[in-house]
Amino acid sequence: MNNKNVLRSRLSLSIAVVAGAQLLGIPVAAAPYQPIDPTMSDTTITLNGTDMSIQDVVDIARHGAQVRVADEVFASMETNLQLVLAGARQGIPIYGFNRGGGAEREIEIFSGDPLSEENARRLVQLRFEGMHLVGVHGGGEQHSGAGPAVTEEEIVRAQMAVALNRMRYAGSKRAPVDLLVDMLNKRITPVVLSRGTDGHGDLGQDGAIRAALVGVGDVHFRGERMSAREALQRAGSRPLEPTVESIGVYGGWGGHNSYTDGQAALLVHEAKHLLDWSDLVFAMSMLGLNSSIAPITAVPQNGRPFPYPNWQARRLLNIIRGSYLFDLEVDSDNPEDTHGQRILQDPESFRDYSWRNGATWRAYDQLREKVIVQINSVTSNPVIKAGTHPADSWELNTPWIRRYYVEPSATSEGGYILGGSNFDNTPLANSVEQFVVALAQSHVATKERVQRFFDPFFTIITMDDLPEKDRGNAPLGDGFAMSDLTAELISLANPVPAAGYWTESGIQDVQSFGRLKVVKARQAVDTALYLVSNELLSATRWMDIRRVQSPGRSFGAAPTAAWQAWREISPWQQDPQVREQMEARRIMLPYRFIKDTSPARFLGEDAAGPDIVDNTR
Amino acid sequence: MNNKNLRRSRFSFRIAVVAGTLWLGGPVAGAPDLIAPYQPIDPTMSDTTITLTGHDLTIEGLVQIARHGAKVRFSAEAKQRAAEAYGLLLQGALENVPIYGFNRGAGEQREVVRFSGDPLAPETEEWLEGRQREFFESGPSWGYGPEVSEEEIVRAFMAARANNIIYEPVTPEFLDMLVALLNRRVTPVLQARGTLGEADLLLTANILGTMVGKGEAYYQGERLAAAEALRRAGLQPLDKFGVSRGPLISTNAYSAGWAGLLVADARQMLEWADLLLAMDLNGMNSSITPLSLPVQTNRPHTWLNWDAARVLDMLKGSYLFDEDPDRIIQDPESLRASSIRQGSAWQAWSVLRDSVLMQINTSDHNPAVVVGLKPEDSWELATPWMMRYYVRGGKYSNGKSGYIVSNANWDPYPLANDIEYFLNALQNLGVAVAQRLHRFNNPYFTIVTAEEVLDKDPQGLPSGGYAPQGGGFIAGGLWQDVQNVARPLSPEGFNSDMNAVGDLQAQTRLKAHNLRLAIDYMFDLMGQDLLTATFWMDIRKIQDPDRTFGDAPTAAWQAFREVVPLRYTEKNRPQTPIGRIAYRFLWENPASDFYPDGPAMPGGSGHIPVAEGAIGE
Repeated sequence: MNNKNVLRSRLSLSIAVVAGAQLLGIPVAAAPYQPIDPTMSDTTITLNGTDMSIQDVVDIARHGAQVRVADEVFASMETNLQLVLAGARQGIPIYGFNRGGGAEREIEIFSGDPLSEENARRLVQLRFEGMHLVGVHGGGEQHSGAGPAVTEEEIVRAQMAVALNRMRYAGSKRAPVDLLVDMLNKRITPVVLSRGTDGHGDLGQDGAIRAALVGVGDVHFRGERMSAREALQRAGSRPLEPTVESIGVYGGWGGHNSYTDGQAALLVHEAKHLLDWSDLVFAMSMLGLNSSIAPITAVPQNGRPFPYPNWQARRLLNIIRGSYLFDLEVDSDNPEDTHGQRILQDPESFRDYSWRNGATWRAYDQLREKVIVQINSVTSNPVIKAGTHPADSWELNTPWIRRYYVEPSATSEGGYILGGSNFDNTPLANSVEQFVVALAQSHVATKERVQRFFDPFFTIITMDDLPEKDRGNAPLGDGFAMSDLTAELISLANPVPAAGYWTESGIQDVQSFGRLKVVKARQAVDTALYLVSNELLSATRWMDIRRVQSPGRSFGAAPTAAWQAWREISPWQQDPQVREQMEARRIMLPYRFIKDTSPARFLGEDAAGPDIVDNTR
Repeated sequence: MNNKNLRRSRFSFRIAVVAGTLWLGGPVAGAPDLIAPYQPIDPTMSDTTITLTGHDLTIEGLVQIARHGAKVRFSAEAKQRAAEAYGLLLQGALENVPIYGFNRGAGEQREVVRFSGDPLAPETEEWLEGRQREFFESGPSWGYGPEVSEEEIVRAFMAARANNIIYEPVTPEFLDMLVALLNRRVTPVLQARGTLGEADLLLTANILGTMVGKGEAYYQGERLAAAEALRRAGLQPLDKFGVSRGPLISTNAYSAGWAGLLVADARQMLEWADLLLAMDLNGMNSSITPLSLPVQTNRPHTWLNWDAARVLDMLKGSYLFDEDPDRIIQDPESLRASSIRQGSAWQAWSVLRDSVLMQINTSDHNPAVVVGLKPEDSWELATPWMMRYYVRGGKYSNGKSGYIVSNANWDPYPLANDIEYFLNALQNLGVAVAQRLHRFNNPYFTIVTAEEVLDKDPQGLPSGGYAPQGGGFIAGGLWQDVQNVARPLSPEGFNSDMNAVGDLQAQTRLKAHNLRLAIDYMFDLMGQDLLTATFWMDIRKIQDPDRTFGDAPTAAWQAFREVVPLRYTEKNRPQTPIGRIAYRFLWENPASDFYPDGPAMPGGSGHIPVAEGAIGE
């Protein structure tokens, strides 16, 4: 992947974080809209509903990759649609179609053939009006969401991309899909309210996309805010029309939970970036401390065969391979002592790394797998399953479930249309919180490591032991800032309390709060990145000290490259006046450096994440 | 697994939880520092012997030893493994390899040379033995009260420790004594607190004290001076102490063994959650479509699909699969989402189970003593620094070589995280239970009211009234209890020694404590659910006597009605809160008594890893 494409537009994330803070109720000034930088607009990604990757979401959402929909998706949508139409003709009660939605689930909306002239006219009109009412839920309560509006275009594009990918499982005409593809490719990005979803469906946010399809509401067209109708016109597209062919009589749609799930995909991507940098910077800290590498070697690791911590230890060893940490340390004052200047055992914050961060990698991997299942499966209700038959499973052949079986007919091969609760996002939401708890458990150590560099009990020497001319003034990690950020990380790791709120006459009586959990998690990842950027300062400072202490020392390829790249920005010995000017930006500089630089640039072959099979997942 | 043998002794759990909750009020001078009566085990499996190999102790085996008094023996290979490690330790010191906690100090004294050269040189050996004796004899004074009031927790600690101590350099006499204490039920008085949950170091010393007849211990449930307990058990106090303290105490076996018991309890809890859901669905006259194959195949989360198949299988034969014109198309979300949340909790449970299995079957000691590992086994082992820790072999090791390497294997991750992952999943399941039992109060869901049906009770109004439903203030309050203990602890870096060598803590003991409370509170809450489910099954049966519920729900319903009849006379009306009776019923009658089989669990019965150096593989 082209690293340039991966680089975020400068400062956009800090603004995003401000937005995140705003979501959490921290009063800050309103953030400006952050359009994407479409560096991948010459790339096209084909969506088929079954193998969308995290990288696909990122490339489409963040880098403006174009999309197309595989032909098989259109075929599947038509099959599903014909099943729903046949089901209605056969008098099968279908939630949200010939029956109402939400609290109106028992109310008959129409009977007989949905394509009869009278039914079709009424259904098309109902659909059309429904798409005007942002997030209206089956004639019941309205769910418009709550402000502020999302300020990052990439979030809404991630939502749209996931919704589009899921259309395979919906029953729909092709016009809405064609228009959604158009909107993504021409960068018509609806204004979506950031809050006001209980994490079960994201109805308000989904409604904003659907409204734009009929030319209602505001959008950003290539970053400029205007009405949806004007944007479609400028882009040469036409809104859906209230006809059977365009909007259709049935509202099959893939948007449920896509607002949350799209952001979850961005979270996974950002988490990988963070964990890669954590590993690299920690390896640099080991080089700075003159660590004993014993805990990550085969001897203790083989004795405790947890796959992820073992992988973590091996990855660290690979990163520091070729470094002086594998050599003997001879004290010139006492050449007999090969132990010399290296201590037998590091502080726990160093020694524990493979266990705690290995555990975080495992939580990351479990989250990643959840997100991939989630964005490639159906979360809407009811579930439409053409081609399933009573003989497929015993319960399908019982009288109650047979009620929902659509018999084969001239237009449909038959199948089931069943109410479900696949929109309950708890598996993903649990994994998000599992990840953040693990993240806090591993990254609480970051602050500790930086503090240990102040103690010659661990470092053996201090800067004052170096010749005066060789001493540097490059900055080191800020203890106060790290204390604050660690406290913030810990507070973000506290889960959203499980609650059951009564909405829609009690039909909805539990919520998964996936949106809030993902927002908190993304902020936690960003906070942890700040912590790691502070560790980078102390690690590189001490790599310089170790090099001055003994110029022959080597650090291994990746740490050396990262250290030198940072030193281009922040030299070891810097003109005091220039340094003073840099001070004002001191915190942001290292953060921006690791935020904007792909760790793959340094890690090379070690950039791949863990590839571990867990058969219980 | 024989469930009858594994169930808990009557009421013991409740008292223990009360004890856990009230750490208030100081001990009375001269009296046992217990805040609940001591709970000895009922050794129903004392005629069973489990062989400890260090690499295949199961949760079931741990429960049999700890809770039901099964006896243990070491495999010959396991004893040989420990003896060879002991030899390597002596040989390493003889070769002047720096060994943490042996010829070097421990903790912040890790660089301090304690002795050099041959550890069995007369003066050195005498000094080492003397230090060891002093430590054993001081054993009862370590840790912090109150005392653990349940014998099974202490035995779980000892059993987990016995199994994984075979990787450590300990003497045959020590191994024999540990087994003898378990087999003759000499159970040390153990202090409940005083560990950071990252190696339960000094609590282990309580056990050492008993071994030399110091302090107090329980002999077959009777509290005695430890010396008297040993005498009655026909044991001589240990008089060979070995040369190194570290291997005897550096372990997480207190937390890990306890977690093993909790894994068994949590399984019983989840099995009941599934069966109660099936009973609730019967009581609600639910639409079971969310559990059916088409809905599940469209969202292929393995554990969710498994749980749905399991609940569906329990319901096989129920009237829910028959036609019913009055049945609603879609239940409240809490009923629809329950299997999703239970499946998600089962997955978190399986992760915790596997972590516990890993923890109790591998070494968590520092330093790692690995016989037979050679420099060519992994590239880093041949580097100059690692060769410092290579023991070439000689008289004490029977010529065998190996490595003795400092590490952080006692950092109990991912276990510490996995306890909280499961707790959070439990919380998100608990809210569904709390909500679903309340929906029975609303005829919007039930269609009929209980009063309408009972007015037509063919048996007439019973003189003592009807058994109650669950819910109301009681269920709300019990749910608050679950919420209160399900939150994760703040990860911390306390600097627990002067130089901050130990600058991180895992808090595993406290996490296990919270899990224990959460499981028990879930049993309280599910007791309310049991009252509601059985009440409404009766209502549905009175409505239509031909209705069937499926084998397992029927059996559980009828068994509970033996304890709590639907119709009371004035004489047999209980004079105690009926929810408490339901709570006890759930603990004493595992759901697996009513539903022993079902679909195979994903991934089988758990993965037990094999550590490097485990003999017999």
